[in-house]
Amino acid sequence: MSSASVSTPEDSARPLARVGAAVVAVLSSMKLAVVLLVLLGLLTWLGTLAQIEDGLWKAQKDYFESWFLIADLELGWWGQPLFAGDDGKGFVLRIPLPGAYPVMALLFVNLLVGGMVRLRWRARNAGVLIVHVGIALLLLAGFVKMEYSYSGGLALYESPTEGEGVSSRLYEASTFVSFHDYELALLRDDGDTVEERVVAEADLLAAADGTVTLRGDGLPFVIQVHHWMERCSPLPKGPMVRTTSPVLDDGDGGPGVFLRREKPLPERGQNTAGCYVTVLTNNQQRFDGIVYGAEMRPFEKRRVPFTFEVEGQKWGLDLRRVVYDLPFTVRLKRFVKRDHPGTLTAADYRSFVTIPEEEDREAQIYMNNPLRKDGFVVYQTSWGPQNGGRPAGGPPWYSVFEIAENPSDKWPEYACWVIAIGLVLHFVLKLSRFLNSSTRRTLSEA
Amino acid sequence: MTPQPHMVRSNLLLTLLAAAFVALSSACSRAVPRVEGALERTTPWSEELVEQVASTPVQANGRVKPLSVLAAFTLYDVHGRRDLKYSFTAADGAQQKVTLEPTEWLLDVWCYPKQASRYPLFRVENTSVMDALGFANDGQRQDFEYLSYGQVYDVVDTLQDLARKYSRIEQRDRSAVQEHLIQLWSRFLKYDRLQRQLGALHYSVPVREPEVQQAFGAEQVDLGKLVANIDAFQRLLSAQDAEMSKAPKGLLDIAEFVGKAITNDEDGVGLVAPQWLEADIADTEVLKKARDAWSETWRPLGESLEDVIMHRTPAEAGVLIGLQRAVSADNLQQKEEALLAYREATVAAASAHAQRALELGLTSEFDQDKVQLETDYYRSAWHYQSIHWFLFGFVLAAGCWLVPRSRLLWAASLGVTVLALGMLSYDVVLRCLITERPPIKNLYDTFLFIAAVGVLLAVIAELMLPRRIALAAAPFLGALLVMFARMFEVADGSDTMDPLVAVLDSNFWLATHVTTINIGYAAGLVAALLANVWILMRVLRISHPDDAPMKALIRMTYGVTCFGLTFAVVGTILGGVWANDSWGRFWGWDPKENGALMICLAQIALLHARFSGLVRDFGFVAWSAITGAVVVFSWFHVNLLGIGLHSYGFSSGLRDAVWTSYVVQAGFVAIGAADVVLRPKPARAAKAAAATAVA
Repeated sequence: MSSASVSTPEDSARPLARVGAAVVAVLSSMKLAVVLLVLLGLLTWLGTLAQIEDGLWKAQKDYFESWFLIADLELGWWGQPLFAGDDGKGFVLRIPLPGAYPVMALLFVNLLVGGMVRLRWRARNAGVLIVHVGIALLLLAGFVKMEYSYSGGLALYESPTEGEGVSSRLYEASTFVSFHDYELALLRDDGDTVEERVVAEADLLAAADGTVTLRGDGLPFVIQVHHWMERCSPLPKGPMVRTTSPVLDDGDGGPGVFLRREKPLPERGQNTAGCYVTVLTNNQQRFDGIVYGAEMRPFEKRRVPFTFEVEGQKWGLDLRRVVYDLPFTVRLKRFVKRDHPGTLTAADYRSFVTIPEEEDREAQIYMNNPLRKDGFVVYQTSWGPQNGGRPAGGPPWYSVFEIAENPSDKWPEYACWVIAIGLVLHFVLKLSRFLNSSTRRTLSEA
Repeated sequence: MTPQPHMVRSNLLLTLLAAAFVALSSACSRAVPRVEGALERTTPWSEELVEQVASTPVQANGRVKPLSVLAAFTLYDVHGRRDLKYSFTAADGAQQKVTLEPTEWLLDVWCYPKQASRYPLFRVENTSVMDALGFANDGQRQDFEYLSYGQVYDVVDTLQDLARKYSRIEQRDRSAVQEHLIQLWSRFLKYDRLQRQLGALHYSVPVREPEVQQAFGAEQVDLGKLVANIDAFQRLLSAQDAEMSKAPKGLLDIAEFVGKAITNDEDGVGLVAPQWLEADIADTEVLKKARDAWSETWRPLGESLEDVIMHRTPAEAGVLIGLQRAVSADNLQQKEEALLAYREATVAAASAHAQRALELGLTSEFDQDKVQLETDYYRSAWHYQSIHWFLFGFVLAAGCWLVPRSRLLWAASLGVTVLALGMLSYDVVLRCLITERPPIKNLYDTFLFIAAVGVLLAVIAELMLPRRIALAAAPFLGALLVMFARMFEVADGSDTMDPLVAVLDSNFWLATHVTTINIGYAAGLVAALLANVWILMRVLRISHPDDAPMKALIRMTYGVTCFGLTFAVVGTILGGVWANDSWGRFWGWDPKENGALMICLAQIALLHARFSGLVRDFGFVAWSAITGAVVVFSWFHVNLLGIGLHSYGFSSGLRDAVWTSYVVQAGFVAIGAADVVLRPKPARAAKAAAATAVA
């Protein structure tokens, strides 16, 4: 008699199911939530302190937009460094931590699985469930903003009045420019129009230590980008100046010009990038130039790209902040600023703008009152010149806006309502249970 | 509940500590600084005058305020105290001590500048600062000295050089002495600027030429005489040739004096109410522009003088002549009469201007009733009065511990605390009425608001679970926070009702986000306080962790945490929604935003740790106590970091308070943890605790 063991599909799936169940149990566990919340709190604290040295942009990248990091915590006491070294700085504790990406991603999963799917759907948990839905919506809004939102700035002068000559000042625009990111634009001058092709900054970064070669369909040349500098200044090459950067002929018989590398500032938007470009044509012509990202676009229409001519066709290369299109035009009609009396502190500053596409519809943009249109939001941020402005007799005002496109613009507001309702519901239920509980009576009578 | 030996011992300990504190404070009090030599004014300003002058409207830092408020906050800033004390030798040889209120001090600065420049004003806390400035070291210095304006003036070049040199060093890299010298320079400039507001009135120009003497009717021409004879002055000027080459020297001297007087106090305090110019009212274009950027700008003396000379505002001549009399009158009584006349004229002019503005369809921020209300607000100082009642309430609550069955003591303590809360709340309401804003506009307001909300929460907790613990916590927290508010007010030295920057100019968001988040702060602090009481009671063996009082404390801490979490979360998200409307992003990892998020995370993690059984009673209270430190970090510490968009309340004076709170908090938690490790609960008690663990 022989015996044979028969294995059923259920048996073979059992270990897998057990593992799956264990994974789900861990992912949905409240203890995991505690660990993740503590980690996020720690990251937030360390990321806040890091801003003192590194500035907001770098700290944000390091702590809140990363997968892993080693946090440097300088020990201090009463505002003074602790165990100070020769440089006068306190002893630096190096703490390895997961970045905010994995922490928040796991928190989101934990919230979905533990806080919503596996939560006991009873009336007494209704408030908690609603709160968790709200927080999930909030995290989702953050994710959508991070992935799909972009923003930039725009500065417009007041429109010229009748009889006033129209200068190169920009008083209306249907584009805006990024605060941080650069792009290298190749411009083909066709007489009446200019055709553009752009290369993103990320594709140029390798030129910091080498050469990036750019080719394009139908182009009679290649472009070599080299000596990329995150922050630099163009300078004339004086007799006493030494540089390792290439010195280019400045075209008027002078000593030449070069880009001097500068130490990048913590806030990325304050850095002006630059690089060298070499254009090699199919017929062995060579053009060397410098492109420097000084930004004039927000204030003036004109740009000064590096230009060259190949086979009778004019071309230009322009390193500029990324230009985004707006689906409508903003024209600054008037800007008004009111100071607190006797001071130079602005009490109110607002822009009266019109939208030409909507029969010159008028709108006011001021602090806490942006213009929302077609998915874009236009905010009032600043103005200039600081010492001027009409009607006081100074030069004309220009108004500075921030423009953002964010699909999840209003989601946090909805999440706020959901969370508030959930929290109030939950704690009112808890309070009423407590007030009716025997425990309270017992405690009170003890 | 009967008094237990532990309880009695603890109360005795607290009493002894309080007595030691009072004794130490008395021992540390120091002699009043002396002003050597004879003084111009030895008779005090009359009380009636000080009361009247206190409500004289002036414009400074963008708003019309009582003169007493300008005086107070300037004195806080330059002197670091609420009053100025000195002693002098009277004519009969007796030593007299004088305490000047801010208004009296300011009147001295303007009317008796030589005397005021000898007052002990600038506090110097570091002997190295004295050495750096070249003051002789007599070897008997105490922990601080007062220097007069005159003393600092003698070394002003050295001070300026040092301050400029050290200003180039990053603030966080400066030594204490360097920082102190920079601050001293800043305070010196502030005083100097204040003194110069009426400085031109203290000078006169001698004239020898008969025609000039005849024109002004005097051999010495001051601004009062000049303004009174402005037509004669202009006739004299127009009689000269274009280059004034042959003009009498006296006339040239007067012209030069006028030029200096006009520029002497540029951007200074607005002492002269604005006046409507009939030509402007008639010009519709001017009115249109005025509506665009309308503001009622008061003028300092120099600007007003220029307008009077140019015949733009002849009606202001009387105000200037009155001020001249107040400064140059020979005796105190005449000065007082002139000051009262100036007040009347200013109020009348400002009221007339405001009335006309309204008639023209413009707005006006001037309202003398509001100026008077603000004067009375500071005079009454309801929040200050509440401190005494809070302390009284705390003493009564302490009495409840000794006589726990006394319903009378319980009711008295509760009643007194509620009375003090009423005073504090009335104070907050008055501030809202004066500023026409929700309760919180700046860091100072947060103290009063959080104190009021914190006390209210603790009172509610006591009413729900009457264990006489929250009853003591409520007045303790109230007194402590209001005392901090008083200290902050002086240390910061900035008017707490000054106008807001444009981004904060939103009553909707101030009323929602700011109020909500601060209720969250208040609840976090109350929860931390109750948690610390739990630790203290356990360490001192006042109660057993399984006893009802300790269980009640846990419940209270839990309830207040839940309450606080609701407001902290909603407040934080509302802040993001506001930021989305003002700065274009919901979340920017700004330090203040991060601080609020940390509170939410700490409280959410705490509740989840409690639900999941990760922490038991001690873990729960220790975590709550640490959350209190997180609240302090978010409330204050981020403002000390010197970074971010919310940098509206920097004050180095806060650093000590913040670090002290961290150390105290860490000490409590460490002692509590040591106690748990060294003296763990009995097994029976542990089981009982598990059975009654709070879900």
